[in-house]
Amino acid sequence: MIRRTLAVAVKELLQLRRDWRVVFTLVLMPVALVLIYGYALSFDVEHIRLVIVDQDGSRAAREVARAFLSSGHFDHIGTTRDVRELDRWLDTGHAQVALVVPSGYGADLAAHRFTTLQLVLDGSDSQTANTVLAYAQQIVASVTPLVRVSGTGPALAAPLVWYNPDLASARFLVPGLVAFILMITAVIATALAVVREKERGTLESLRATPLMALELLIGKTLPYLVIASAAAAASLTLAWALFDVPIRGSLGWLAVVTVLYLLGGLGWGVLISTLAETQQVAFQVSLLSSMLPTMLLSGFIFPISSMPEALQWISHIVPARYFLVALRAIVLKGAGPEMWWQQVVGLVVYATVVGSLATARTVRSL
Amino acid sequence: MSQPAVRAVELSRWFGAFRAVDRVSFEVGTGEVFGFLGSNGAGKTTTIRMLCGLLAPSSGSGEVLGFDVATQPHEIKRRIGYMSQRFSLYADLTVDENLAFWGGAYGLGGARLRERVAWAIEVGALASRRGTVVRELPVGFRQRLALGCALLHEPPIVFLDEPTGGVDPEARRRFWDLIDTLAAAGTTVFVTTHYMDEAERCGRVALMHAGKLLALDTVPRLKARFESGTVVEIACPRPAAAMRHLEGLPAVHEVALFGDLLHAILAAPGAASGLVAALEAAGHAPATVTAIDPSLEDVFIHVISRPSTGREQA
Repeated sequence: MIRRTLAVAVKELLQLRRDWRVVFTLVLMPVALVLIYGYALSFDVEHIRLVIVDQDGSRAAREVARAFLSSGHFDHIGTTRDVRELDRWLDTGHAQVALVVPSGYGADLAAHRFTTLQLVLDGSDSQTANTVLAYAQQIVASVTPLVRVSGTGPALAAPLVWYNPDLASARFLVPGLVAFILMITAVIATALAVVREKERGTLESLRATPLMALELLIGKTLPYLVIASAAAAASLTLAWALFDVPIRGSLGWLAVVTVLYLLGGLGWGVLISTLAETQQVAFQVSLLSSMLPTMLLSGFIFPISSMPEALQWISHIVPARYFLVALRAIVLKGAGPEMWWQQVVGLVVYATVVGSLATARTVRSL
Repeated sequence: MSQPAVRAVELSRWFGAFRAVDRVSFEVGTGEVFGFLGSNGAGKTTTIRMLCGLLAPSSGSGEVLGFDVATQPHEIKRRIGYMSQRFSLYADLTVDENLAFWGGAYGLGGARLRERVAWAIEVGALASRRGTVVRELPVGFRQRLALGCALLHEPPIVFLDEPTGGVDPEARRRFWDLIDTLAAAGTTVFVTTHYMDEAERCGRVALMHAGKLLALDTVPRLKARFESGTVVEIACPRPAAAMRHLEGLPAVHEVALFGDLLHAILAAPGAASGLVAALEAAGHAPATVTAIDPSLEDVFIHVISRPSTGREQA
């Protein structure tokens, strides 16, 4: 009955109001994480030491060099005409990247002929090298229209990066962070909330009332559903305000997908609570089982497609995997449900399976 | 009595090889104050948990208000009040918040809830503490609040599992006045205790020991099991040594230590006079022997020390 469920939810909120540590964790942890990840854990690369090898000496060559230097990513280490000097620059690590403008570059462009620029990268830090390559391609793409006189081909393959044109890692990380925070809060908060009643002995008295298992579960998880949703909204707002992470898609769909994802997390928390006897065990189990898979196996940081096959399989039971794809699609691409409905299926299946298991276990242990 | 409020037939529960409750049978009439007396681990709590539908019996059957404990636990839970050994209150909520929650858990709301909360505040003498967090409430107040919470939905029967543990005598007396009030209004009260003085206030008392129901009767009739003059109190300098001596005498059935004193049950009323001489001859001088009215504790010790007398049915 609704009245009994509501009684549980109100009680839970009243207890939360007095337990400032939990509120502190639930509200401040997401905010702190967004700030830490947004500012510190950045894959963006700045101050790349660039050496320019200008064998051409034309105006076009100077223009492309200037475009690199004014992009903000590079520090100018030196300019030379001699390619052989590169060995020394790169070997010693004085430079990380060299832009080689071959002789004839300006003449080729002026004659509307295809031509190439060469980028020499220190690949020992592959992460940085990849990022630099992407920056370079962007810069050249922006420069060549100026250099090009009319209707001829580009000087270098000119890719267009969609959705995140300046490849800011905040845009990539923040949705993952939201998934991460939601999973941890949902699982830990509910697991603790149920185990606490076990530890204090109040569960026995609850069992002697006509309260049904489902009423108790819904009543207890409802407040955390609301709080976790608020934390998600706060994280996205903060990311938008501080790191220019846009929300292009529909807020309604965002809410639907988020709630589905949370239901799975809440179910997992309840499932843990039926197995753990103390709050300490419940805390550790829920932290490990929510944090590690969400961080490592969801595509939050490491792309699933580059994982070993066995791990790719395991990632199918990590709900964040589905949520992340849908979340990035909605937030960054503004894509509609036709683009991510498979993810919704994944979330619904997960929530149903875990929710049923949790309810069955609760009925038995209650 | 028409239909009994509680009926247990050969009710048993074992955990592995341990028989927590062993073929217990009894009936509790409507409006009765029924006491379950026994030491810790006697099986009192396990019995109550089975009757409240919290634990399935291993064998035998139980009925509460006509509903079967094994198959209709939900029907039972809607109609009973239950106050458990451990506090059935939320220590981090106030008096009012606890009442509102437990009322809600029983499906009460609106005017009915307000009316019942007001009732619980009044009978529990809690008016001055409504906004106090339970953690900061004296134990006696907590107990009356817990009872109020268990009675919000006006159940015809209430199960109280060691309700007065850790409470001072004055608070216990007030609590029992409350139980008398309830019983007078027709509520059946099923209460477990290990306090003899509390058991004396029950209409009927069941003595439980090691999972078995050893005796069940009204307090006066339990005491009447002893012939007048056969229960004596003995005062002497070294009671423990004297007890070992007395145990060897044929005139003495049982001896037990009661603080600094000994209580003995004699084979015949006339044996008391010979006891002083026997004790002083054995070096336990000075000794005095006084015939006393048996207490419930004498009965209890008598019953548990002779398991051969077997279980007795109500």
